[in-house]
Amino acid sequence: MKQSLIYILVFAIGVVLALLEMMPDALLDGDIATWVLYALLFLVGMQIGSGKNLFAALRRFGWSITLVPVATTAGTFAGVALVSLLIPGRSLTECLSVGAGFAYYSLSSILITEFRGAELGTVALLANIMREFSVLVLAPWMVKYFGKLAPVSAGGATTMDTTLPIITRYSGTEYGVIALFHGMIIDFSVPLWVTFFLNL
Amino acid sequence: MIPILLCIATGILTGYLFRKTGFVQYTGSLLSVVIMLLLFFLGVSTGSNKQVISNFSGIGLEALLLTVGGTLGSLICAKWVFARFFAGKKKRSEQSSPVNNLPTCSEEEDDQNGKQSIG
Repeated sequence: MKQSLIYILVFAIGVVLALLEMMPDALLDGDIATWVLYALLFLVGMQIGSGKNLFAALRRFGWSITLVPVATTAGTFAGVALVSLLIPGRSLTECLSVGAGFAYYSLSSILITEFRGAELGTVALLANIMREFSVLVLAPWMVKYFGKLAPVSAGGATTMDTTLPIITRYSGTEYGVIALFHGMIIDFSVPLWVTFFLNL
Repeated sequence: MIPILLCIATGILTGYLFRKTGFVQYTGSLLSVVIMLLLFFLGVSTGSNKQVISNFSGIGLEALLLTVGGTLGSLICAKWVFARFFAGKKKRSEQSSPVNNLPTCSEEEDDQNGKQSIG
């Protein structure tokens, strides 16, 4: 929660500095952002590669655990596809690329900005921050009406870090392992889905 | 697309090879620094884009709609997977009483069954 607030603050500072036209032109050059993006992706990979919880979780719960990320992905895409009918100015693939952020707002918004510009990138940032917040705030309600896997699916890629404590609190500690596994799989899939939809 | 995959793949390989050394511990903090840097850049490009600024409420509404759609969709699928593969299965393996399949079973029962089958 605290970290997301810091992220929003950093984003807001950037907006304000640009509005006041206090940014030096050299920093507006897209090349730096591209290289920092590659560094980010490399670090994301490193985090996935060095994690040791993945196979332990699989052994513990068996193969039904793999259905959780599948449910998250299928449900998100179906819901977003329906909503895209209500948004006249956006194509289906643009909406799906925003949905494919799975609450991983930093990575998805940066990728989308790189490929489609700041406008859709900002939609992605806001939408995916809202998704993370919804889990932090509504997790008990989700468990009550949609079962114990609900905050895991709603949390998307964040279930391995920011929303993990909330999930173990309201779904039970045994769901922490599922959340870790789920977070790693979704985390890994975010850049793949986002670039896939933007290339369609 | 290719450089993106390449960056992740080399990252995973590096992370896996160095998973037992100390320096992978710093990946998380390094990651938040890089994310902050990029979000700052995103803020700058948002702020200098007149179209985005003049239509910020519209963008906010779009984001809200997409969030509600995506989250609700995933919640519904999670409910189905939970009922079909998690709640039901555990109960059946614990005790084969048909009472457990009734929708009236309480939250506490759920809890107990879950913990027993894992512990």
